[in-house]
Amino acid sequence: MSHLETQNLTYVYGAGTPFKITALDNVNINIEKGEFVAIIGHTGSGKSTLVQHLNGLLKPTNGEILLDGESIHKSKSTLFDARFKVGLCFQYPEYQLFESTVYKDIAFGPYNMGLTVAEIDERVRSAAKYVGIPDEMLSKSPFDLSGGEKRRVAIAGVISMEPEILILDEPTSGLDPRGREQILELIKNYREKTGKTVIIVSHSMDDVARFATKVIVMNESNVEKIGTVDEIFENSSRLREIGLSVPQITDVFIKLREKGYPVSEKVYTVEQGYLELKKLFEGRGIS
Amino acid sequence: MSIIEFENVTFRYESDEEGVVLSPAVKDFSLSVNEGEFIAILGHNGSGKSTLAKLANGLLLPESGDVIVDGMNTKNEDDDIKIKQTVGVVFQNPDNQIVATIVEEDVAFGPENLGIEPSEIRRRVDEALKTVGMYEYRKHGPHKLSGGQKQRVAIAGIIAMEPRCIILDEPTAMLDPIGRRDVMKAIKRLNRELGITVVFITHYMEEACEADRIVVMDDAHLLMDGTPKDVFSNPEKIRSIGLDVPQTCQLAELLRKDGIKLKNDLLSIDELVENIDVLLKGQ
Amino acid sequence: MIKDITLGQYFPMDSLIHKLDPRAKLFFTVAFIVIVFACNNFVSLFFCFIVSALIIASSKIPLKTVTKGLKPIILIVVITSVLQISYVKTGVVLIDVWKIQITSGGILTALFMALRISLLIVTSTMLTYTTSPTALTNGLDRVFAPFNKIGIDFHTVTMIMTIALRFIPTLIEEVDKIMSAQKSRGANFEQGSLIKRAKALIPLFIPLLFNSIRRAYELANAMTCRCYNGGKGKTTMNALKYSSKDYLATVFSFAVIGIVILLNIYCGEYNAEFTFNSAI
Repeated sequence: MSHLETQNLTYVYGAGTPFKITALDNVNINIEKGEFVAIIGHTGSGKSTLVQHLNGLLKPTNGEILLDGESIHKSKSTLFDARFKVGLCFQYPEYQLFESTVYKDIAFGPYNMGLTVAEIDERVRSAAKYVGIPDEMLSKSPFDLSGGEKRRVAIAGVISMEPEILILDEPTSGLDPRGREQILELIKNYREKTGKTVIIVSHSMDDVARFATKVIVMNESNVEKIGTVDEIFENSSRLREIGLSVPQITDVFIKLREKGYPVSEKVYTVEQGYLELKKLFEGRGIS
Repeated sequence: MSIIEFENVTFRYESDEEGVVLSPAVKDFSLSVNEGEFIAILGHNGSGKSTLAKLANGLLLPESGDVIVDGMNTKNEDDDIKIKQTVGVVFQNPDNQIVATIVEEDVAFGPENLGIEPSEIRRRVDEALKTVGMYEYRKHGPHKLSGGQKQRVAIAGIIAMEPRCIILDEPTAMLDPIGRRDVMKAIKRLNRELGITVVFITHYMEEACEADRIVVMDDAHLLMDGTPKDVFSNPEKIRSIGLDVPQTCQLAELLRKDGIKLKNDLLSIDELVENIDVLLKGQ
Repeated sequence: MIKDITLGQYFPMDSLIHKLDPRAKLFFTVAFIVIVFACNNFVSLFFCFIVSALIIASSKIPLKTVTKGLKPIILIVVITSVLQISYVKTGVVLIDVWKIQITSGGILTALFMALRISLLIVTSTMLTYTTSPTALTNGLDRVFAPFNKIGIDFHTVTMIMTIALRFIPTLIEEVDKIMSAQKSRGANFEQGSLIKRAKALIPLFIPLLFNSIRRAYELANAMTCRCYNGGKGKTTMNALKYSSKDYLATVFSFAVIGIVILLNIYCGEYNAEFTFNSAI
């Protein structure tokens, strides 16, 4: 059974006024338990609006969101549950920290869930471990931390709710290569240890090519394509057309294909590129 | 002719806590920025590169050493306005640079502060907006623009002051791919068409490769200084400081190890594709 | 949601009022507010009402939008009216039930006050509806410019106003974002006792405050980099210039003042307690 799905999801801003905008148009997606999903799309494609529906923050104009087969808007209690079962971490989450200590900020979610002090403590410490925050940092003020540390605290604040599905909206934005690696490793590690469903929203295929088991491509309020990373890269030139960035290596192979060479378009890592070119050179007798 | 000269500059930030001395953000740094150059400053966060931007126009003053802009020392208060007009700075967050409620009024802010006569300001504002491709948005409110558009407005606001050099501190870090592309296009125009010296601080390899010269910072020091080809011909050194070489270089390296005779200094996608083409056709 | 706040908003239209110099409009608004307070009988007030209606009509702003601006003050008007009716006991007694006594004087006074407050609010909102924030601050800047020369720093005040106006939409978006993020961790801004709801605002205000301070630092740096030095020697690209229609508007303002003063003299005297006779 699907873990989370949307059926004919449509969302319109300013209905009935001259400023009507259709942010989502009949979106149907299906996410299974344990998948590592990437939702990619250009700015304004609707991807952020989509994920805000998944935890019930936004209510659809039309259509339904089903968690474990049940509509999350069925009742106040299903909505309340959805809020914590689907943990949504926004872009630049470090700008939402507010508590006097890191510990208290991470505890905010569990506290709102109505857990006991002992349960909250266990969750905070466990979440802190996942994001690599040492014990000494728990008593510090979040405002005294570096940008990268703040971001990890903010992510811990969502992990501490122990959601069944973790959604991260552009978790690597604004970070340098080292920072990006750290965050992506952290996410990969979390998923491996917990086996939970993870959704990353991004406009960069670089980030997600390595990890995603399923990719949902959004374009202009619609779902353009759903598939594995390989399937999505079948038409990599299209990805650039719709405002996404592809790995440099993919560009190399698009250009080689344009020159008439029979190389695969499905290249998104250096290793794949190397193997593909090795084949090509050996085929021509060059070693 | 050097437009900005860093002479053994050391700078450290003040700590919020009593009696704590932070280690220097920039240590004994020397660099000559020549007129008309397009320099990229590469380094991971905390390497000191953003501090350089603020030292370059006198926003921050060095604790030791000197920063000389077009012959003027930034420590000299009398030259303060002239220095800031000569070296303009664009920062990372597009929102926090726009001061007015209408695009063209924001671009006019710099020239207005310089006391320039209104019709001349009008001419400069129109020119600047056309250069960055934002002329049709001149009467718009800034909050409705995308990140890339806002950043271009910020750049226009600096060009309107007619500086000799523009420093951009990670201008594309908060933008999406389309915004990044548009801003890079505008910046290249500034240098190639208008002859403005550009110092571009970034941690994106592909962007750094667009420059004539790359300066690599690590841990408050200047680590490398050379053309992109020189700098990336030493991938181990780059990787050791937490940066990565472009994927084109990595691929070429792997193939060279296999005996395929690719050139040593390949950098751009087109160069790599050309070289592969030549080798394959050569048979 | 929060984005629908219309109080103080600007509605660009192609009308005569919109095209007037902001200083002319500022002058009229201030003069009108003073004169409405000075009205001491229904005739003067009615005249002011006609003037106001004329302005609304020529501004091309839809009536619905104008009356929307009155919504926030309905409560004040009702409370004031009730107070007037309870305390003013002059003229003919109309209702005398149990402890409640309502007189004609009370009702007329209440009506007068209500009309007056409405006129004041409508006129001020008309100013912001027809004048862009930038034009307003430019106008104020020019009006107070002479004071800068004698050492009183009004330029900083207008700079602060411009920046505040520029950031209002940005801050509204940020509030939305922060609220969404905290709601996603289970924060509840809508339910609970007053105290609970006040406490719930802490996860909203603290980040907003810190982010605003950080913004201010960055903006100050950016302004310094653009040679901002407190407005000394600053020129203006779009300098305001009075044209014939602005002079006419100013003459019109004086005419209104004059007529109201005359109406005041000939149509009644102001008493602390309003009598039925002087209402005619």
